[in-house]
Amino acid sequence: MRTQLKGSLWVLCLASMAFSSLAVTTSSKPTLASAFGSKTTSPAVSDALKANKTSPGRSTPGELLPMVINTWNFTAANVLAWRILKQSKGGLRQTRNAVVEGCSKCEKLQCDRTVGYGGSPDESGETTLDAMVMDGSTLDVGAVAGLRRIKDAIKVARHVLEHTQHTMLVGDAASAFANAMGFESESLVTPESKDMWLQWTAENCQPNFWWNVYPDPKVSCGPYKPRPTPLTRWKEDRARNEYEIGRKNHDTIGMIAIDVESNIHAGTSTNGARHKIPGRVGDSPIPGAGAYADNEVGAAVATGDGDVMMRFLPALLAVEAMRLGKPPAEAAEVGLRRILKHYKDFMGAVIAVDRLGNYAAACYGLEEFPFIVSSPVSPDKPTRLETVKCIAGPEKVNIVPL
Amino acid sequence: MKKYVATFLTVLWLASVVGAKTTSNVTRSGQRPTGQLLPMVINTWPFAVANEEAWRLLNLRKGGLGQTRNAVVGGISECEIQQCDKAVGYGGSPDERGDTSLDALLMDGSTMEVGAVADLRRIRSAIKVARHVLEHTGHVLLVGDAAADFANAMGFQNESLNTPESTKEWREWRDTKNCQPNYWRNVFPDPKSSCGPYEPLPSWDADANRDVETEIGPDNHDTITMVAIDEESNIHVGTSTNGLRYTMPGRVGDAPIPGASSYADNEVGAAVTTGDGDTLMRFLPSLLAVEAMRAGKTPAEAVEFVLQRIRKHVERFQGAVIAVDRLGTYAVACHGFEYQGFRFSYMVSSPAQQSRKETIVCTQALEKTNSEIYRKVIW
Repeated sequence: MRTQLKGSLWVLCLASMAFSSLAVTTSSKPTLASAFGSKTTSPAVSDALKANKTSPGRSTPGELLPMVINTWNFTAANVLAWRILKQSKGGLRQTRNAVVEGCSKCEKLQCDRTVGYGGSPDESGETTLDAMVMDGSTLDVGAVAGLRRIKDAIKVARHVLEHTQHTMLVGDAASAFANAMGFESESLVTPESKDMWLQWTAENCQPNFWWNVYPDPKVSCGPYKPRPTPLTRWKEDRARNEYEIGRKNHDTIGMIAIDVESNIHAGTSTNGARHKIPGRVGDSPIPGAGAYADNEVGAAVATGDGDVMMRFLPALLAVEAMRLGKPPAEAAEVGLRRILKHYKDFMGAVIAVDRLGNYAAACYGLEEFPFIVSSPVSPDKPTRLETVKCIAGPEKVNIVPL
Repeated sequence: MKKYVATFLTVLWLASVVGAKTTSNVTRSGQRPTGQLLPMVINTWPFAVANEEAWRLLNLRKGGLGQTRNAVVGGISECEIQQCDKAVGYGGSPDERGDTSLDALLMDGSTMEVGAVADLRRIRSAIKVARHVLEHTGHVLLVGDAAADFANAMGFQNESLNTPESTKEWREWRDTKNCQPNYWRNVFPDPKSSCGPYEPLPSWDADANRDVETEIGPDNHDTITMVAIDEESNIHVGTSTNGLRYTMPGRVGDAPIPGASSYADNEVGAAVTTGDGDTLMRFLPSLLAVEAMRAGKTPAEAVEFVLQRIRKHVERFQGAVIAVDRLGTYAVACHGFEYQGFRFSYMVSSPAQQSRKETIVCTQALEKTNSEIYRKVIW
C-alpha cells in the first residue's frame, strides 16, 4: 500500500512538472517573425543582411496584413492603394482593385516621368506603355506591351485579364482592343517629352541601343544598317552604364497587395527605357520578370535595367526561393546575384514578400533603393518610406571605357 | 540443389520485372542510353526538315563548334519557309481579323543574351529578325509594327503573311462557324455563340475560371522550339510560331518570352516547350526546368516537375517540355494533346542517331473540372 502511494506520488510529481513546462511554452505566442524570420537564416546571411540594411526593411513583429508595398518613392500610389484595401475589413478581395488603382495613380501623375504618358520617348519621340497585373490565386495574368495612344495601361491589362483568355496583347492591336473596351485614344506625347526627344536628337542620339551597325551608333544618329557580326565579337562586353539607368530612367512602379487571407495581387506599369528602339518591350509586362505572385508562397516585383533583367526572371526566382523556404531577404537577392555572374554594370532592384506579409528588398547599382510600404504595424502612420542599401553602388559598378 | 535453382530463377524473374518497369519509365520520358551525345539538335514536333538542316549546319565544323547559333536559326528558318504544319511561318493561324503574325526568339546560353520579336507582320523570316535584335540592339524584345520597321531597316523586305488558304480558313470561321472558337469572356454579346464586336460585362464574377476548353484542333498552336549543343556544351535555343488560330490581334503567347518557350544556360543545360502558350507562359516552364537541373535534378525529373507544377493549377491544357542537360542527356514529357491521341513526337539528332523521330505518351486530365460544370450554370 505504502509503495503504491509512493509510486503514484512520483507519477503525480513528474506529471505536474511536465504539465507546468508545457504551460510555459504554450503561453508565449510564437510570433510571425520567429516562424519565418531569422530561424531559417544562417548566421552569415543574417549578419550580411544586418550590414546591408539602413532601416528595418525586414519584417517587424505585429500585424503584417493587409499590406501594400511598391517600388521607389511613389507615395501617392501607395496611399491610394492602402485606402482601397481598407474599404473592406482585412482588405478582403480588394487586392486587385488596390494594385490597379495604385499603379494607375502613377500613370496619371507621370511618376518620375517613368510611368505613364509624357515620358521616356522612344527613338521616334513617341511614348509607349507596358503594364501587367497578376492574380496569385489562379496565377492568371493580364498584360499589355508597346501600348500606343492609350493612357491607362494597367486598366487595359486588367481588361485583358478579365475579358480574354489571353495573357498578353501588344502594339497597335492592343490599342484597338482598348478602344473596343471603351478607352479613348489620345496622344501620349507632351511638350516635355518632345523636348526630351529633340534634345537627344540634337546630341547625336546618344545614348542609344544599337550595336554593330553603320554609321557608328556611338557617334551618330540613324538610320542604321547592320554590320555582319563576327563570331569573336559575340561575347563582347557591352557596358550598360552609359544608358544612365537609375532614377528618372527605367523606373517602374511595381506593386504588391496582400489581404488578411493571403490573397495576393501584383502589378507593374512603366513607359520603358528612354530612347528605346520603337517597339521595345522590357521586363515589366512579363510574368516572372517584372512581377510574379503565388498565393501559396508570396510575390515579388522587380525594377531596373529591363533588357538585362528580363533574361533572368528575377521575380520568379524570388518566389521560387521563398517556396523552398528562403526568407524574403535572401529571395530578393537570388535574381540579382544570378545576373551579377554575367553582368557587373546593371542597375536593378527586387522586392520580395511572403504570403504572411514579411517583406524585404535588394538592389544593385545604386546607393540605396527606396520603397513604400503600408501595413497595420504602426496604426497612426501606416504608410512609410523605407530604404535598403545596395549590394554595390554605382561607383563600384561603372566601367571605365577603354 | 533444386531449392537454389528455384531461388536463383525467382531472383532473375524479379530482376527482369523491375528492369522492365524502369525501362518503361525511361521510354515514357524519352531518355536514351549512352553513346556519344554531343553535338546534338533536338526540336519539338516531327518537323524533320528543320532538324536535318540544323544538323547539317552543325556539322559544318567538327564537333559543331561555334555553329549552334547558325544551326538553330537555319533549322527554324526551314520551318518558316516551308510553313511546317501551317503552325510556323506565313500563311497559317489567322487571327480574328484574318491576319497572320509571327513570334520568334533566339537565346545564347553562354551570355544568356536573347533576341525576340512578337506580333511581327509583313516580314516572313521571324527568327532571322530575332537574330538581328540579338546582334544589333541592346534590347531583348521588339513587338508589333515597330518590329517590322526594324526589320525593314535591317534589310528585310515587306511581304504579305496571308495566303489565299489562310484567308479562306478565316472566312469560314467568321461566316459559317459564328467565330467559334474565340478567346473572349465576360463580354456582350455572348462570345460562345456569336461574333463581335463585343463590349465588356461588368466583371461580377472576377474569379470566373479561365479553364475553358477552347476547341484545339489538329495543326493548331504548334511551335517549333529547338536546342542545339556543340561538343563544348555551347548551347543555343530558338522558337518560331504563328501563334494560335483566331486569337485576338496582338496576342502574344509564350514563344517570344525567355523562360517561357525556351531557356538556355551553358552552365546547366536548356529547356524548350510547346503547347497552350497563354497557359504555359504564366508558369515559365523552360526556366523552371533549367532551375531544376541546376539544383541537381535529372532532365527526366525536371520535365516531370514542370508538368506537375502546371497540373496543380490548370487541369486541362496541352503542353510538352524537352529538357537537355549540358552533356546532352535529354528527357521529354507532355500533357494533353488529345487530338494527337495523347502523344507527342519530336526529332533528335546526335552522332549516334540522325534525325530520328521519337514519340511519347502524354498524361491527361481525368474528368471535367468543377469550374466547367459551374460555368455552364452561370450562362
